[in-house]
Amino acid sequence: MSTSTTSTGVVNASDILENSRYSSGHLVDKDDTLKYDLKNLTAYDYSSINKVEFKENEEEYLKNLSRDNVQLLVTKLFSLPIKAIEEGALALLPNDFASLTPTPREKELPSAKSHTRWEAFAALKGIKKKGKKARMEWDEHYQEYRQSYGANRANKHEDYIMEAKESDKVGEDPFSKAEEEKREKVNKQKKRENRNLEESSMRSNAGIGKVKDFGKDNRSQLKSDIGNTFNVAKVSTASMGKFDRLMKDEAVKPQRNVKKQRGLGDDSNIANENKSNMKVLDRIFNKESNINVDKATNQFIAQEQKANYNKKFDRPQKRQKK
Amino acid sequence: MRKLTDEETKVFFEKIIKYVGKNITLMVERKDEPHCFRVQKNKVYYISEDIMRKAQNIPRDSLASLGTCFGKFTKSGKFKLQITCLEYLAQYAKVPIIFISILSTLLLIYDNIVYTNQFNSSKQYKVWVKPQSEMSWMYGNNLLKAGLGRITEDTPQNQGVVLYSMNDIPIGFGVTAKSTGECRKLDPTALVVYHICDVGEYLRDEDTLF
Repeated sequence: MSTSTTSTGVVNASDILENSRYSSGHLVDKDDTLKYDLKNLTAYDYSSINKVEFKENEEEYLKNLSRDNVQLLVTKLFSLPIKAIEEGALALLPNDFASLTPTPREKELPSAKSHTRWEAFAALKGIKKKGKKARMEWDEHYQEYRQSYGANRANKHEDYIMEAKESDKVGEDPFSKAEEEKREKVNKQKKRENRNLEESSMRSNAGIGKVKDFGKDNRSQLKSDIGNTFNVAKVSTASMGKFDRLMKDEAVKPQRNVKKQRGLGDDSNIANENKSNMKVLDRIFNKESNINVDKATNQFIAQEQKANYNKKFDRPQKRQKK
Repeated sequence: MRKLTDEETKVFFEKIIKYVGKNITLMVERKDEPHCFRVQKNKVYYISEDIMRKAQNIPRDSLASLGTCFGKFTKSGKFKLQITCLEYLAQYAKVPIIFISILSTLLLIYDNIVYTNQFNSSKQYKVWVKPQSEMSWMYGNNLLKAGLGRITEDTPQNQGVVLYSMNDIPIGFGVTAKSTGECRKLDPTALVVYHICDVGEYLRDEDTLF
């Protein structure tokens, strides 16, 4: 914009108008070569700069150019269809994607949710999920609507009496047996859920360990996990990475199941070598006695514990609640 | 020719200990002349420092053999003894136990029950073969009860033993199939010592031994 200011520090509209080449103030003496993205109130000037003018006075040239361009943009905005409201007028910005500036997405694309084992199986067999169950259900016995879940659920099968079966054994409580079965079912389901969670986390992290928390504390763990995964991936070709070219500046190819050889080195100092050999021997001999001490103590402790346990549970058992 | 790695040293020593027990320390720290173990093309050699230093001038590819060959490492990292080490096994199996740490001795006295087994490794066990079975053993067969002349008292099962002829000439080494106690009740055709190596191999495997 033009920056002529009067001595009072206030910009007069008339001053600007007189200074500008066109008295109307919004016409610009140049071809409109701008590319508009009106929805974002943006315009791009792709035309090249006039080198001669630019070299004469850089600051002035850029100022004038941007003033002209802003004027063009504002003119364009005012030419848009206008909607009048109480507070004034609103310009209706165009909503076409063609003129929209492509900008990168802030977040990564959402990935497909991984299937649980059952979902994968159902998809394979074409089993469809039933519609959502209603929350309230009609209870025939109580003649009222009840929740379809929970302790007081509708149509709850209440076993006050159980019919004896031929397979029942004497002394076995069918009620506690049913309870036990239910508990087992719940535990089994818990195990399945855990397994699904682990599997999906493994998949989503592309095998980068089982760390799912990407917080600061886990950063080093994640880093080494990624390194390990990368190393495994590098030797996971048909030739175990034998014929793969190394990248520029890449460290030596990782090898599988190759232990670092320790104990090599100085070949000539026999005295030192024998000393370290004696250490190895000491370790071999001492290990035996150490293990035996542990074993003996453990055996003793285990025996004592067993005796205590037997003493504790040798009492007659309490009668079970019926 | 190179030193043994830590892993190799452990495997190698554990094998030798089966036959000579704690006397292996006498082999590592020799009073007369310093000796060392060296690997050359998977084979382990026991050599004096003097010869080792001279051999260092020879490139690995050209070095055929040096010192006494004790055996070789398999591809999977196990160690196999060869008959050429019999000289040392026999020698150190004869020496009485010298090296027992004071601590272990005290413990042995105070707590006989727990600590009796641990000294298997510190004892040396020997078997003497009757003259009529010597040849059979030297052809590579296992030793039967019929050929058993004498055996060290309290030899446990699966223990490495050095075999001698009745006039104390070492003729090989093996692993006991039965303990001394069990041997007494066995019939003459039962196995007593499994064959590992015998002096006949000097003739049979002459070209690969050294």
